[in-house]
Amino acid sequence: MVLASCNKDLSNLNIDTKHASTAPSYTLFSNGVRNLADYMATPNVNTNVFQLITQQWTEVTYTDESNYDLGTRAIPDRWWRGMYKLVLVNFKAAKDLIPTDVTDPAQQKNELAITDIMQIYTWSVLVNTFGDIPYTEALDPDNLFPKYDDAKTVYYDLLSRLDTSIAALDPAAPGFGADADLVYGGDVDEWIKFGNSLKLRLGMIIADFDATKSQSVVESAAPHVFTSNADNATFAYTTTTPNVNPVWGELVQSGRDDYAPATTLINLLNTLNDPRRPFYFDAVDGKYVGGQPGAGSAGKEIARPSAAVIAQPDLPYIFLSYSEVEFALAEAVERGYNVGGTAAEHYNNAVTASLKFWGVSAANAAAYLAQPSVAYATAAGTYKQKIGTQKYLALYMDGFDAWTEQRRLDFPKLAVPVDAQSGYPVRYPYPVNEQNLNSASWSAAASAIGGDKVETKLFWDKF
Amino acid sequence: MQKFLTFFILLMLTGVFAIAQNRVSGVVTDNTGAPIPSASIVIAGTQTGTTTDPDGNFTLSAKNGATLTISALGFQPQTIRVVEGRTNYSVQLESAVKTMDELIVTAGGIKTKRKEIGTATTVIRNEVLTAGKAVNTAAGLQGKVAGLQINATNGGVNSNFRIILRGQRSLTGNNQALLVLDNVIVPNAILGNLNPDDIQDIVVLNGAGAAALYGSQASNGALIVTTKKGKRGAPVIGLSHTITMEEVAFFPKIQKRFGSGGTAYGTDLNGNPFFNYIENQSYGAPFDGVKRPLGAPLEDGSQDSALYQYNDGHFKFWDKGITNQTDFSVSSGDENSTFYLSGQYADVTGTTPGDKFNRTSLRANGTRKIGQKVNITYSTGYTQNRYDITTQTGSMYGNMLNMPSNVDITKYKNWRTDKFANPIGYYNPWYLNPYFSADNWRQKNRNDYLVASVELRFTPIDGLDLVGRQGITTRNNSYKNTVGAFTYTEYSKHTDASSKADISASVSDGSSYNTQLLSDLFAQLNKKVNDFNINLIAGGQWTQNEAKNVSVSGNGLVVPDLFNVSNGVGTPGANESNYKSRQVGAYGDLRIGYKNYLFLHGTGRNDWVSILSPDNRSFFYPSVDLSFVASDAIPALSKSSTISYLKLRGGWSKVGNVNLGNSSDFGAYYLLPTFSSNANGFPYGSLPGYTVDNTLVSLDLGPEITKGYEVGFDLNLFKDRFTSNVTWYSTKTDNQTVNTSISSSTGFTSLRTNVGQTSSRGLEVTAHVTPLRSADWNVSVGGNYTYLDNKVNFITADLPRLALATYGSGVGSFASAGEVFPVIMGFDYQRDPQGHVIVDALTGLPTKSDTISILGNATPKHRLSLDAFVTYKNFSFSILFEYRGDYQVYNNMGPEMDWSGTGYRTAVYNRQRFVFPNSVIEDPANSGKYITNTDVTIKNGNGNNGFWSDGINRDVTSNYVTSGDFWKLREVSLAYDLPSTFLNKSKFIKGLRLSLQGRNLFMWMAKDNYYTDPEYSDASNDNNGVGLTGLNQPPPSRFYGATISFKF
Repeated sequence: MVLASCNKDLSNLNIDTKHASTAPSYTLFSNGVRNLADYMATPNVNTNVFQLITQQWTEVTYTDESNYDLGTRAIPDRWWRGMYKLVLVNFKAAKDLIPTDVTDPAQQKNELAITDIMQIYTWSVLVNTFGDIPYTEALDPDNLFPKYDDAKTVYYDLLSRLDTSIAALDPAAPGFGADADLVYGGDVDEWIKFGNSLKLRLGMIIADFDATKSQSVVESAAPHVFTSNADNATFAYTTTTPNVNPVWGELVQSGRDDYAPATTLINLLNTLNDPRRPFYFDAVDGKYVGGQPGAGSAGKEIARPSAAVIAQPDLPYIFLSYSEVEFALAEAVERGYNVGGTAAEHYNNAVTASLKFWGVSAANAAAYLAQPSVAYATAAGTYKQKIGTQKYLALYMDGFDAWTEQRRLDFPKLAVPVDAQSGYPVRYPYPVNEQNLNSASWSAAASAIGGDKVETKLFWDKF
Repeated sequence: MQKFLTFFILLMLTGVFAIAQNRVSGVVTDNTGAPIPSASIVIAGTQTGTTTDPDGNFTLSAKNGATLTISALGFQPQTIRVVEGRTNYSVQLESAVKTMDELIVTAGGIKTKRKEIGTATTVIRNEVLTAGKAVNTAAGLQGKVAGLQINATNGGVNSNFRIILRGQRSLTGNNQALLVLDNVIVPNAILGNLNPDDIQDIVVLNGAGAAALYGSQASNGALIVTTKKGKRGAPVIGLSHTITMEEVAFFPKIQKRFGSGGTAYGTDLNGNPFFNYIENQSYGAPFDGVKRPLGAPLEDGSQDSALYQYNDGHFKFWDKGITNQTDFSVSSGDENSTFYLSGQYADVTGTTPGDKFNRTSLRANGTRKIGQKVNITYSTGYTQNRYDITTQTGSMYGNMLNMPSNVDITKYKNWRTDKFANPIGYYNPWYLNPYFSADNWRQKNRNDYLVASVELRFTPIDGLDLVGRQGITTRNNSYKNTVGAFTYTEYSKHTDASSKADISASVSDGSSYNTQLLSDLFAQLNKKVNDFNINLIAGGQWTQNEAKNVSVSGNGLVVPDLFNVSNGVGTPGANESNYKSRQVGAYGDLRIGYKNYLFLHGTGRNDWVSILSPDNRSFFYPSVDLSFVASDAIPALSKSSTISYLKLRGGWSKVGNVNLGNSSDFGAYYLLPTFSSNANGFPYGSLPGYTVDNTLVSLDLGPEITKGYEVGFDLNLFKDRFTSNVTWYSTKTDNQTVNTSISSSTGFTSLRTNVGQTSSRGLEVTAHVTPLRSADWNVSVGGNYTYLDNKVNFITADLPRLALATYGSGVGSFASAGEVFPVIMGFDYQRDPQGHVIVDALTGLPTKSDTISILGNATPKHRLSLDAFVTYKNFSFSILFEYRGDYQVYNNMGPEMDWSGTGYRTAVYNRQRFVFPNSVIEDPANSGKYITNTDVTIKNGNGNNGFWSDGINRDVTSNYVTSGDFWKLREVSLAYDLPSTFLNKSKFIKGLRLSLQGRNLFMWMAKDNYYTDPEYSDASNDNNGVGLTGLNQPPPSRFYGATISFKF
């Protein structure tokens, strides 16, 4: 009797009054968005080395990652853990809590759809990094060994989920609050545009693999996509810690000097006399000299990421830009999809949007587009080269998307780093942790994709 | 009344006969000089005698040549002969000669005769504990008890000690012995905050069996500390002062031939690299004694310089520390009560310049008898300690070991006034002047401890005691960490590869409390039935722990010297945590003695703990032990003149350890997955961000269960001239609580669950022999030996090893199935099947192994202590050596020193190309086979990016795994008691002792250990991942000092 009551007494005692056993759903959504932005934006060599792989940058002293060494710092582990553990699970927790948290049924529906769209964005990053991934069995604490799903199946499921969530969005009803929605400040109309722009991106990615599906996805999205830079899906960092861009953390706060422009990017900018140069980099003695990819580049003549623009704590990260949308539409026209306009119009819009975003004046932008090397009609190569080259220049500071587009369009051509540890990585190998902790599922996936190597192409990467 | 009359008549008669006799007087004391009241003095062959008064004085009349027998409870009787002409006799009684009848405080505060105990127990008395005058009680126990390993895990003004009995049991949980102070369980931190002079004795219960009565905290054995309670008799006032010097006793071995520079600056015609005046790596030209510039020229054009020759300045950087320790105590008592009051003030400066520590302790203890049936005991201790230290010891030490050895760092002390010492002009563009670091990064830390307990013992009828106890332990802490601002000149930021960057001021402030309440209520029944003596105890215990921490921090302070959080820019950091847990126990203890030589003892305890789920929170811990005093039971032995005491003993027990959380959160609230509020990057403006926690906790989580047995014997020979204890034990601990990593695609990164098993077995031997015992001499030598076989049997099939403490590179201390617990794992060279290092046939370079492997075991297999106690007249001398052997340590400062080129290893081949020792190359004619390498030399035996500083040498962990073996001269003390004839002149001084003592005076380490004290642990003090040392522990020290103590 005494012991029974004492048992109950002990139970009450083990309830933590100072840690949340539940949390407001929007705080988990906001945190998921923030973590996603941080992981996509950071140039930290332990986490995100896409700017090195795509040769926007190269390393000044320690050149491992510029030479495709992904293993020493277990970079795939960090990327994988970040997406699942810091982003997806928080979105999932938000989705679990929204139905009890949000009383207005229309708002509830909008918040669930918005969270789902951000989740789809994250899943697309994972599937486009690794190929097959745990998807249907993932994020389940009762299943410690989730199996991997076929990349294409995951991808197509994402497309259909995206349709459902876009359709569920009701602009007449509220979404997340203005504070909690760190991308659009609660504007549901913008989320509809973002959903469609994401759909356009994902539809274009599979163009070489499944033209029919690609065309139908792109055509249904095209009328509803971004129409100006004002629509950009931006994560706005601020000037005070802890809300600063991780780029600033790596370039300034750390007190380190690790990154220099790679010759691949800077020579292209130089050749094209690109007006974005001074925004991207600080010249040394009036010259923009880059480092050879993978070689140390400590020379005093070598430029650095610009102090006034790039190395600023409030540099925004862009999940998806109007410029990217216009490049996709240009490509869609070239591929014969019915999206309206000409390839050149869309191309001009795309380039202009990028220049404008970085601060180039309208007159300089027009002059740039008038150069024969830039003008769509006269620029070198196929549409893939024209669009690929300019898209690459526009995707500066967005290494992951630059990598995806380079893998898909195969332009611009990248140099072989001086001390390359492997072939050009067209995917990340699975985390070492997966081999140890989820080994049966991992080995099944490794053989399903044709070997867990960096050179194994993803399903949509046909060329 | 009748007895009194008889006694009175006897006294009268003595008086009558005394007319023809000598009047004899004297004083009876124990071996510490304390008077023994109520000792009886009887003239042999008569019934005539007297007893001592409260001061131990006696007077009686006896004939010349008569023999007086002096005896007292708890002391060995002694006889003296009355000599003509001598009227004053001082008699010192040896205490507790009948060791087997000595009462020992065991688990639950129950006093038991030594011979009744069936498990290994060691009693350390105050004199032994304080022989070396260690400020920290744990230091005073080092090397004194078989089976007890005490490591000073870092240096500093108040070192941390890790106290482990019989090896480690829990993979990730607490393995430190339970601490019990005056019968109340207290947190381990209390031991370092007790005044050692207040301690009467410490009973070490080596095994879980002995401690099983303490329930779920007993699996690690226990230290039962009893403080002094005062003695009946005239007040004894003690006053003493100790001054102790501390100096660095061991420095890492460095090369002394090459200075700043390297091949990156070019080479001369002989291929020798050039000197460079800012280079931090010592891969430059050989020392030549010429004066060379140091650092870039300052803005005013001046330039620092140094002789280009070896200088031991970076070792002289460390100060001589001084400890002043003043003690006083008063102890007294009468028929009904005793009391003990004491105070101590210890003031410590350490070897790290500017580090200070002080500790003040007060104690009031006592006993009181109320009527015939009620006894009250109380014990109150209050201690406050204050730290004023730098937080940069590790980085300062590292910077100095990196520094070219021609630089005399002691020149840079006055950084405020000396332009070359000021950070702006300091020669090194990458590293700060350590004197500046020490001044600029400060921590002030205040701790206040109150530990008090009250015990009420009610004896309504003979043989029945009802006992209630209430204990409270509380710690209040507050701290402030400050970083001062420093602004460099633009010139200094941009000269010669400078990485000098402004330092912004910051402050962090925190406070916390931690309170433990413990109530204990039990009944003790003692009954004699024919040949059986039955002692039964039944009781209950209630324990509650509560803690709260609040901290705030501010960055970028606007007014640089105003260290106030509100003076910062941006949102101040803020944190709060609260924890509460409770445990309820019910226990019983039955001891049955047969004819006073066979004792069967069993305990049972059930615990209910709040931190586990209702289905798993109740568990039962039984133990049983048997003691057989053969020397009493077997007539042949009891008559033996050789064997004076032989006890055989054995025991079995099962105890549990709830391994959740740590000493600051008690494991509270771990079962519920929660959301954390301060997600990285939040608050975003006023928007909070929450995140799902990383760890899943299995709801079935239960305690780790340790089952084991021990057997042993105590054997004394030649009237106890030889004493010994031998114990063999073996335990297995199942249900290890382990955080296993899980695929993060589950949304979590780890799962806390019960899995795995460890085992520990070993031998503990203590033996002492007294070859000489006479009126003037008493010599005792002996020691203790411990053999320990501590293993991880298995973890799980998919988790063959578990990282306990690792560095960024993934090397460190691991639990690995089937191996010693723990092992050091890291990278080795690629080797051929015979173990030769494979080198490249062209470059001569070895390569690093792809995966980490076991490079050593971190637990000493053998430990040995040797001691000697010698007293001659008024001199007493003691000495203690300790040895630990058959284990390895990984020295993380090694790679750092090799990087910088100061490491001793880097110059063993004179910075020339060399053939890698014991290496092979692939046989060109027979691929996959290897042939001995006799002539392929390493291509880059020198240089800033040469073999020694590059990844191969530094990343091969095995290069820095060395033997951990050592011998230490732990303690030496020499004391002199001024003769009483001399003191008597003063009328009021009863004792005056002068002593000299030293601790850790000498250390003899394995030849390959160039680095530091293998006792250190780079993992935190509570971490089981021992075997790693690094830069965060200042170089090891020796202590020596002198004490003067008075008794009034």
